[in-house]
Amino acid sequence: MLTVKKLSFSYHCTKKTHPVFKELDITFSSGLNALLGPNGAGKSTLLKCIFGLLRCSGAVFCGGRNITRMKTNDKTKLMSYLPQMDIEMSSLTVLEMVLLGRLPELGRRVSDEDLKNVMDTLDALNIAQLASRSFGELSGGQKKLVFIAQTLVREPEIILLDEPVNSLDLQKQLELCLLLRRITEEKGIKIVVVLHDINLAARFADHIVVLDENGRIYSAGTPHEVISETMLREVYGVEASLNHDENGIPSISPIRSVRDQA
Amino acid sequence: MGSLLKSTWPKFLIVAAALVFCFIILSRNAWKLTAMTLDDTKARSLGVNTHSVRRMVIILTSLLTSFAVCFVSSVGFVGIIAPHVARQLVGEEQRFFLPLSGLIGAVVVSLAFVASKLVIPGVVLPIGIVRAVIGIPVFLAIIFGRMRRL
Repeated sequence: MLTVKKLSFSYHCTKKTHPVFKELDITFSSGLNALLGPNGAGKSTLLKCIFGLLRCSGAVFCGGRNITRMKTNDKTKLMSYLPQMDIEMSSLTVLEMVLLGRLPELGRRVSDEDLKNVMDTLDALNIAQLASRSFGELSGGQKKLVFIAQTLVREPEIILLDEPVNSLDLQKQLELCLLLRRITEEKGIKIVVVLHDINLAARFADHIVVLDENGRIYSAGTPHEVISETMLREVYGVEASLNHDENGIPSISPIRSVRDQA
Repeated sequence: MGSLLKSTWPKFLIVAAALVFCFIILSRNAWKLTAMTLDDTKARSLGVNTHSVRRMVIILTSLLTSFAVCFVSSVGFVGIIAPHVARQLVGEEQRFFLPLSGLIGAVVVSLAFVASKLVIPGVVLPIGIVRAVIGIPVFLAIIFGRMRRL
C-alpha cells in the first residue's frame, strides 16, 4: 500500500507562493490506481512529490517504510516514474534508451539478463522491431511507448505513470491498459497512473482518486463509487450522461460545458 | 599557441595519471552520463542525482584541462572536433563515446603535430596554428550541416 500523509507543497514564483496541496492524505491500494482531475489540479505535482523530485512537507509510506528521505538510488529501486514531458531528439537507439530504465542495476557490461528484460518489455508493448532504430527517428506515439518500456523494464514495487496514453492511438491505449492490468495482477506491482480518459480509468482501474482544481481529494474509491454525473459537473465542469455496460462498468458521454450554460 | 615541443616524459606521465584517474571515474558513471544527455527531469526520474554527477564532471574536466593547459598550453578545436566525430560514429552512449572521443582527440593532435613539422622544412609551427587550419573548416562544416538539418 502507498500512503501519502499530510503532504503540503507550494510553487514559489518570484514573490508569490502558489499552494498546490495542503495536508493532503491519500492511500493508494494495491492494483491499478487512476488519478483523475482537471488541468492544474496537481496530479503531476503529486507524482513528483511521491517520487521525490519536488521537496514537500509530509511523508510518503510504502509498505510501512517512510520513503520521503530515502536516497535517490534506493528510491529508484523501489519505484519507477514516467514523467509527462516529452523528449524529441536523442541519438540513442531504442535499446539503449530502454536499458537506461535499469540504471540502478546496470554495470559497465550489459548482462544477458538486462538485454532479455529489455527485449521482453519491448515485446510486451509490440515495439520489439524498433530496438535498433534511433530514438530521434520515431513518431511521437512510438517515443511515448519507448519511455513506457523504460519505466516498465524493471520490476519495482510501485510504478508511477504520468499521462502514459497521451499521443497513443486507440489500439495502443487499449493494449497498454491491458498490459498494466496484467502487470498488477501477475506481479503484484502497484501502479498509479494519471489519466484524462475517464472511460479508460473506469474500465481498467481498481481504485480511482479524483482531485479537484484546488488540489483536494474530491472522492476516492472504486470506479463505480467515484464516477458520477455530479462529479463530472463539479470537478470537470461538464454535463455528461453516464451509462453502465452489462458488467456494470460506467462510461461517460460528455454533452456540454457548464461554462456554455452560464 | 600550444606546442607539444614543451612536453617531456615526466610531464607526460603526470597527464597520463590524471587521464587514467578521470577516465576510470567517468567510465563508472557512463550510464548516468548517458541518462543526462536526455534531460534533467528525465535523468532524475531514472534515479540519477544530477547535481552530484554534474559537480563531479565539472571537477574532473577542470582537472584534466588544467593539466593539459599547464604542460602544453591551450590547443584549440580538439574539444570541438573529437566529440562531434565520435558522436557521428557511436552515438551518445557514453561507454563508447567517452573513450572514442579521447582517442580521436589524441590521433588528431598527433597528426597535427606531424603536419606542423612537415609544412615548412626545418621549422616546427605551433600546433595551435595547424589545428586552427583543420579545425575552422570542420567547425564551419558542423555548423552548416546542422543548419541544413533544421
